[in-house]
Amino acid sequence: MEGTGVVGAQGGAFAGPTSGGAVAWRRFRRDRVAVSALLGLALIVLACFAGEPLLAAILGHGPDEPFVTAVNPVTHESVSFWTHVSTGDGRTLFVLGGDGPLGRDELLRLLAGGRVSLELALVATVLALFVGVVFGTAAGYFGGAVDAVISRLTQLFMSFPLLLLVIALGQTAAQRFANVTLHGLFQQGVLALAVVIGLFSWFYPARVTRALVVSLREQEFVEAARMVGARDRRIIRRELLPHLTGPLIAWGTLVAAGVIVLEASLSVLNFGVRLGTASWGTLLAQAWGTLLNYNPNELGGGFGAAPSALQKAAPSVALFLTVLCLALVGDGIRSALDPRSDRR
Amino acid sequence: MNANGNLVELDHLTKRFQVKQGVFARGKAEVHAVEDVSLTVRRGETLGIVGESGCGKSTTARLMLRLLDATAGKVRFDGRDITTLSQRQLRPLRREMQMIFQDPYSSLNPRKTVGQIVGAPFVIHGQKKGKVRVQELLETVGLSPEHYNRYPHEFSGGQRQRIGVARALALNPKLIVCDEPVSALDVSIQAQILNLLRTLQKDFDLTYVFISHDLSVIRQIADRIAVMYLGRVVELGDSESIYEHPKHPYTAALLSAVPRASTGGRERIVLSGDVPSPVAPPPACVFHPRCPRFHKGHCDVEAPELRELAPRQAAACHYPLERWPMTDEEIRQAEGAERADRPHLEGTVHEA
Repeated sequence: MEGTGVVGAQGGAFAGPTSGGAVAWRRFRRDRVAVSALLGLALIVLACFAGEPLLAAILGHGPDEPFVTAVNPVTHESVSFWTHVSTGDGRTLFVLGGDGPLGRDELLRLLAGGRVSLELALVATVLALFVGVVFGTAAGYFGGAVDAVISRLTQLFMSFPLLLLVIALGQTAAQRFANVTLHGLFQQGVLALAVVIGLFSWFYPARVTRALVVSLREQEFVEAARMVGARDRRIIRRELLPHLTGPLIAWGTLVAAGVIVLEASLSVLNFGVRLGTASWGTLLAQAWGTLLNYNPNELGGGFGAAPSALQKAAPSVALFLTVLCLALVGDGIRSALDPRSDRR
Repeated sequence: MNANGNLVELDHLTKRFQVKQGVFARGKAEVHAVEDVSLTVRRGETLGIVGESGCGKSTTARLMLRLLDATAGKVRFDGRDITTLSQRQLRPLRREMQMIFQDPYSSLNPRKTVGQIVGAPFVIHGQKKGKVRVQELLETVGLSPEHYNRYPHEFSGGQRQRIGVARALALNPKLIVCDEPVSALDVSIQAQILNLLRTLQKDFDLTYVFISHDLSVIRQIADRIAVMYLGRVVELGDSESIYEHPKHPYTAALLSAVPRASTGGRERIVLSGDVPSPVAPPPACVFHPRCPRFHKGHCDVEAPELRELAPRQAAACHYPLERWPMTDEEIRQAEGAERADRPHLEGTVHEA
């Protein structure tokens, strides 16, 4: 190799794409815990979004249809799991799962509730990430007054008790938008609640984005881009954002996990999704009672069945599994992106 | 406009950074990064800027390229005053002056391919046929055109620096500022990169400003050398003149530190003390606290101007070296032995 002769590239033995994303994916694949969590998550999403409509079509009834005959008005006992029930107009149907106070199909309600909770989490997370990244990038890149204002804003909001704020906002502003359902894509009130929660979840992504951008902004390749004549917008888009996509996915899973739990807490407090709509939080409220009305038997107007053990446990287990899978996947992504970590 | 053959002219350039002291910022301290620097760079030559870390060389380079705004003074490029141009006005000029950065590991975006990195200048300035040009450039700097789709982490330090050179060459600039381009490389690779730079200068008619702290590297590539200390130019002259008879004591200390193959020859001068903080530079001559030729009452009272002391060689010193190598007495004083503290006598002739 003399002077200006042609020089070969290193790493010749390794075939295949070597972009940051491809390498991270390969590392992620080797992490068995994370992969199984990802599969679990996929299963949950599939069950809720595809399984529920499928099941409803097979069984011939939806999650919200009440079967009054399924509940014994005297003993307040409901039919057990997997029963034929005859309805008033002479149909007999399978009912999967136990019955709630109104005599509805609890398994379908669990799945439909999962759909509501997950949709809410998705919308809120996307909103939180978007706002967080925009603010964080602006604060980190431009510094000075912009940074001061955004950082103070972030700290101000972070110092308030989140639950109180969301409740307050949820009860006032969200009511006005409760009827926005995007042509029935969402249940009533869900979109409004998702927006409210999203607007209070952007702090963590914002802070982390800002820290990342501040550390990147001083790198020589940014200076090199400026040297060549790139404008700020181009520098942010081409030089900085590619560094953010991986961490964004990792933070997204964690924000989503937090949002799901927050929604459940709010619904149990009766400040979240309306009790009529199935979501994991409202199912919990039905089974355990809400803050305002502790006796779950009263919820259905007093003639419903007492909640069975399965009804009490099912939404909790579903929540637990979803949050666990999200957290493990998020953790796995973070480890995969960090070349220094080594989890065997 | 450019009749005098100077590509770059720096005129009493000064750059001070504000340093906030304490929470309430009572009285701001200033870092005197660059102080009253006047330099010219002629077309087609290589000007070397030499000095310790923190002496202001990189800041001077960035002022030259308008990556920083000067506190005072003027910068002229190709006869045109660019000191106060806005970033938008500067954008077309960015095609004519470029920079090669010091750290081959952080000067290339790890998330972009080589093709994207070297092709970015074409995209930014709206030129087509980027890919073909990029592959030509890769060949010019000694890389294979197949490396277009590879990522920086797959290359060694020397190869990455070649990518940086390719990026700098993309738009056919007139001036390339090389900010310590070989400092992070092995000695053998250094030679390759320096050869590459020399070849490119001939082929593309480039003008270089080459910054380094390593005199042995500068010697190989620079036609003229500027020696900087604490933000000021203390000596400026032809490469040969400076190596054969340095005039400023600081230059002498730097030269003595260059390893030499022969066993005989000059002793290494170890200057006593540390470089003073640029927040509080010494009054008058900034080198006087460590200078072996210090004359009390003169050097600490009157700042020396950069004066021409020999053909094509200027130094900022009241008592420049008369001979090279230095006398034993001078060396001892430089290393901290009791200084003669010679008083300044009016009318004494000091040799030029």
